[in-house]
Amino acid sequence: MAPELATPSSLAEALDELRDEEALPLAGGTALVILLRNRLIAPSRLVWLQRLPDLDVIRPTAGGVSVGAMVTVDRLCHEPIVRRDFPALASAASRVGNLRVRCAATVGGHVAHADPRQDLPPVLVAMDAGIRVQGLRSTRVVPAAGFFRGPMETAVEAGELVTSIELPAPSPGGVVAYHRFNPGSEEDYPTVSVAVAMTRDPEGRVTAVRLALGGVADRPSVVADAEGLLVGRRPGPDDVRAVADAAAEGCEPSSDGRGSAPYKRAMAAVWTRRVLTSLLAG
Amino acid sequence: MRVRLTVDGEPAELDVAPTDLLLDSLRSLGFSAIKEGCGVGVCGLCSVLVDEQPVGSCLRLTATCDGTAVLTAAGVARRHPALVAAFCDHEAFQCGICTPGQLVMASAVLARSPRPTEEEVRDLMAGSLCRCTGYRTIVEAILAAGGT
Repeated sequence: MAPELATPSSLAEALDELRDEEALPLAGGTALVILLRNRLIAPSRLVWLQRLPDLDVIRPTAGGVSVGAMVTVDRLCHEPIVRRDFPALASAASRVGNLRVRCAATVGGHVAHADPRQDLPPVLVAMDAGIRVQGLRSTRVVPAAGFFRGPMETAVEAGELVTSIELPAPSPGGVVAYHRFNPGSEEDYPTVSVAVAMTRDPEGRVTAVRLALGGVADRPSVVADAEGLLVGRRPGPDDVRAVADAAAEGCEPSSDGRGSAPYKRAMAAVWTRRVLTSLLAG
Repeated sequence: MRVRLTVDGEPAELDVAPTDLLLDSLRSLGFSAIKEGCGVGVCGLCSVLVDEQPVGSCLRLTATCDGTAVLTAAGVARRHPALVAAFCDHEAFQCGICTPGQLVMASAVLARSPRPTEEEVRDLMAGSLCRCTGYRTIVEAILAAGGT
């Protein structure tokens, strides 16, 4: 059965349509249409979000910046406030797919799709962003680390919709770095990607760190040991190596065209070490 | 459902199913320069502009294009004769199958960056594959059309 297309003009109407568990929201379509064409999904109805007001707004909030779910990935790359306050996120966004994909794909669709090889999720996890999930009666902000539940599985339930990404303001002395390692084609998904958010005091001691890897598990994987190994220290090469080892041990890669599982594990260590080393040198 | 749009400036009206692809709809209207290549948004053979935004028509549902202005390579060529001339002057094609998509994407690149650097051209044209490996001449043509 071909799905129907619903074109709601208000958020309440869209949420009502989405109460049907077989309904799926449609934004830019760059991920959903591929799944549809390959018959990997068979939704009863597509709820097209383009006519909803106010979901394509980027605005400063008390705690940072709120990026509406219908903001395109291309706009995220170019928005001055994002480039200024979240340069690593803007840079990661500029590596998504290709120009056509970035002009169509939305930030909300990107996170809701939850493919573990995507660029933005590890960065959002590292920077402790929140994903705003709206239901008919309530709204909640889910920390990015808890939002991704598995491949194409998220915390969003039937009758709910991702409406914005909440980016916490950068902390003084804080930096975020993202690196994607894709030895094949530049616009392919990465074999492994590394996102780090780190804060240091004026003496160079790490006061907070959060490290997340992409492409090497069924969701962005947080390297929990990084905190214990780095906080309170002025990390040297041995500390960095210990974190890289922990990153390799903690990940659960699977073999595919972008590398065998052992190769991805080895590369997780290599790129964790390189990204941390360059962050600490800066 | 009924969809009304313009293609290369001409009004068109279609009856479509919700999951019909813009690629197939345009080809059914006779715009056969638009090809299906990879079918997953990677190769760029099916590139068109929808309301001036570059779009892979293999991943766009026609039903979501009601009221839009679609430009195919033919429309782009009429709008940018200098770009077509630059492709000819630089022999920026071999077999030609990717050329319509390359023209559409080149016009999108020049729209956002009228005098692009080579790095910008290579970066923004990354999703436009040429299996004859003719990228150097394509990049040169776009740089020439941009006047740099």
